[in-house]
Amino acid sequence: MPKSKFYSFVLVYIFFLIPVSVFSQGKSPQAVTVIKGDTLFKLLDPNVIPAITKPLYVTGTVAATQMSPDEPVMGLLINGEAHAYSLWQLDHHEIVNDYFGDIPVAVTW
Amino acid sequence: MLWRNSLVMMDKETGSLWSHVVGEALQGPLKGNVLKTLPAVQTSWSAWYKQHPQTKVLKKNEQIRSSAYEKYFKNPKLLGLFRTSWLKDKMPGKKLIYGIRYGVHTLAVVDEVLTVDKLLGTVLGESKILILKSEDGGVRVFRNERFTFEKQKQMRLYTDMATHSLWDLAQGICVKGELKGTRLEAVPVTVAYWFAWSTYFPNTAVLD
Repeated sequence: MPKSKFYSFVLVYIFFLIPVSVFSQGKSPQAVTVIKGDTLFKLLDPNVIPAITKPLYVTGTVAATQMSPDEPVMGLLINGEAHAYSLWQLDHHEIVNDYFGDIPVAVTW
Repeated sequence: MLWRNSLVMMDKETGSLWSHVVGEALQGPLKGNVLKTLPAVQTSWSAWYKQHPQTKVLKKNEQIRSSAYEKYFKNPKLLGLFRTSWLKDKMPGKKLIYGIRYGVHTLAVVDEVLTVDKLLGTVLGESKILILKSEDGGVRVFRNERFTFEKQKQMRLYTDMATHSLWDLAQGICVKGELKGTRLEAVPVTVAYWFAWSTYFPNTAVLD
């Protein structure tokens, strides 16, 4: 069994953001190592930007009362199942560990 | 953590570190494993809801009414935190591009070459691809070796010249006719800043 069984799928949909909280914390970045010629930096402790591990959902009818019409979303359609993620919400989490049926998907922003 | 100015993720099971740009484990027990990238679309809530009334929506903190990154978006001088070698000569670092990867080939497409509801065909490596920007602002890419499409006058649909079947190319699916149910292979598209895209993919082709 391949080691990566549980990580078979990822949705990489990215904007290449830098966490703004980095600036407000006033910490200086630590160089951890060099990978393929580029430095890996540590700025925050793990989970300072908490990934969503048990996503909760609402219906479109409910969401429509909470979302702006022009609010940017990431939309994902897998096997007929549609999920929308507000990018304004994802700013604060960056990762959603989600499922579409049996398919594990990491939604990243 | 940041690598090449972009998010690095850690899995809780093994502690391996993953790049969310290329989906590859950079360090740790799973180093070298690559996740499969799936196609998604970036659009507005109203457009998505119209197309997918049955959609589930991630429960939101209702207090959040804007992006936490407004200042970052607007300031052309704010790039990454660390110096990286991006391709400065081609276009400004904060220019947003649609990044397309297929196999080892990469292509950055600027918005200016796209017209809403007008198909743009091009070649990526040895593959022919179709790029379509829809009314919802979303950009989708499909591999297409077989068909020549013609736009319908009234609806936002296309017919293929060979069978005259009707296609909804925003979904990449044939909706009526001989080929009903046939799907084009969707190719993932990433909306990215040029400075970041060109750091990751210095050999990227550019369609501008």
